[in-house]
Amino acid sequence: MDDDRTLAELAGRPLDDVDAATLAQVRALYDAADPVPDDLVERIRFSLALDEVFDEVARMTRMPLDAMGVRGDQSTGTRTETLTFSADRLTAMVTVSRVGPGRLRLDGWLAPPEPFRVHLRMQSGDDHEVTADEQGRFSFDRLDDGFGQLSFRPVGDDDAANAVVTPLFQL
Amino acid sequence: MIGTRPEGGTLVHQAARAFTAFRDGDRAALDELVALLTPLLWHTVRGQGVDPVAAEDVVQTIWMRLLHSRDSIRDPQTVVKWLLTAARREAWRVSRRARTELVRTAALFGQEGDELAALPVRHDELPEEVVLRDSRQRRLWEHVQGLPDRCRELMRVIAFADRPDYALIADSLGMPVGSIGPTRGRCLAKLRQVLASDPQWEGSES
Repeated sequence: MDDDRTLAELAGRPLDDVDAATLAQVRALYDAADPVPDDLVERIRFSLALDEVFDEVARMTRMPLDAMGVRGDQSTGTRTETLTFSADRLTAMVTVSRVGPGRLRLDGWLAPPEPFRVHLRMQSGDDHEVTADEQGRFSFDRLDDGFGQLSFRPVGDDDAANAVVTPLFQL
Repeated sequence: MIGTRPEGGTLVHQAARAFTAFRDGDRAALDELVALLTPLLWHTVRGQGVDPVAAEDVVQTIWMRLLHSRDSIRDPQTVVKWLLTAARREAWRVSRRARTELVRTAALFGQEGDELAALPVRHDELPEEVVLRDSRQRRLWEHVQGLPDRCRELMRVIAFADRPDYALIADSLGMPVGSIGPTRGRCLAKLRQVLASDPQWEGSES
C-alpha cells in the first residue's frame, strides 16, 4: 500500500535532474548492449537515393532456413539464402547462392508471371537489368558481395508510378 | 540530454525542419532526417522483441514508406509520430509472425506449440559478447529488465529523445497520456524506486 502511494506520488512529480541522469545512463546502457548497427544509416540513405518514383515497397521476409538447419556453411562456399518480397501487385521469391570465391548468383521467380523488367541496384555502384521470362523467372549471374535493391516494372509500361521496390538486402 | 540540442530545437523540431526542407526539394535534408531518427526507430523495433537482422529490415522499410508517403504527411511536426507508429505496427506484425513460425517449427519436431506460445514475458537479449562497462551498468540492466514490458519499451526509446518531446513520443508508442512528461510518470518512477532501494546502486553513485 505504502509502496503504491509512494510510487503514485513519485510519478506525479515533474521530471528532475536525477531523472535526466538516469535516462542518460539508460541511453549509455543501450548504446553498449544493442547499438544501432554501424552502417545501417548509410544503407538506409542508399536505399532512399532512388532516382525513380515507385508505387509500392515490397515487404521482405527471410525464409527461416537457420531454424531448419538448411543454410549452407559459408566457409565451404555454399551459402544459400532465400528471400521473399511481397507487394500488392506481385510476389517475388529470390535465392542468392555462392557459386565461387566472391561470385554470387541470384535466381528469382515472380508471380503472377507477367513480363517485368527487373532492376538490381548495388550499393557498390553496379546496376544490372534483366527481363523476367514468361514463367516469371529471372536471374543475375556474376555478382559481387554487397548490398542490393531490386525494383520491378511492367514491360512496356513506362509509368514509373507502377514500380515496386524492395528494401536493400545482403547478397 | 536535457531540453534542447546545441543546433537549436528538440529532436522533434529538428526532424520537422529537415522534413520540410526535404519536401521543398533539399535531398540532403532526407539524409539528415535519417541520421536523426534512425536510433529512435531502431530502439522502438528492437524493444518489441524483433531480432537484429529483421529489425534492420523493418527500420529500412519504414523509411522507404515515408519516402513514398511524404506528400500525405501534411503537418511536418507529425513526422516523428508517423515514423514511430509505423515502426511499432510493423515490428508487432513481424514478431507475431516470427512467433507463429516458431510454434509451427516446434510442432514439426513434436514439441507442444502451446508451451512456446505461452512463453513468459520477453526480455531484451544481452548478446554474449557484450561486456557491460562496469557493475553499475549491469545493475541498471537488471533493473530495466525487471520493468513491465511496456515500461521497458518506453524507457528505451525515451532515453534517445529530448525532454520536451517525451509526451509526444510516449503517445506515438501507444502509451496513455501522462506516461511521461511533464511529470515523471509511473515507468520512470518505478525505475527510480528500484534504483533507490538497491544498496549497490546507491553506493556506486558517480
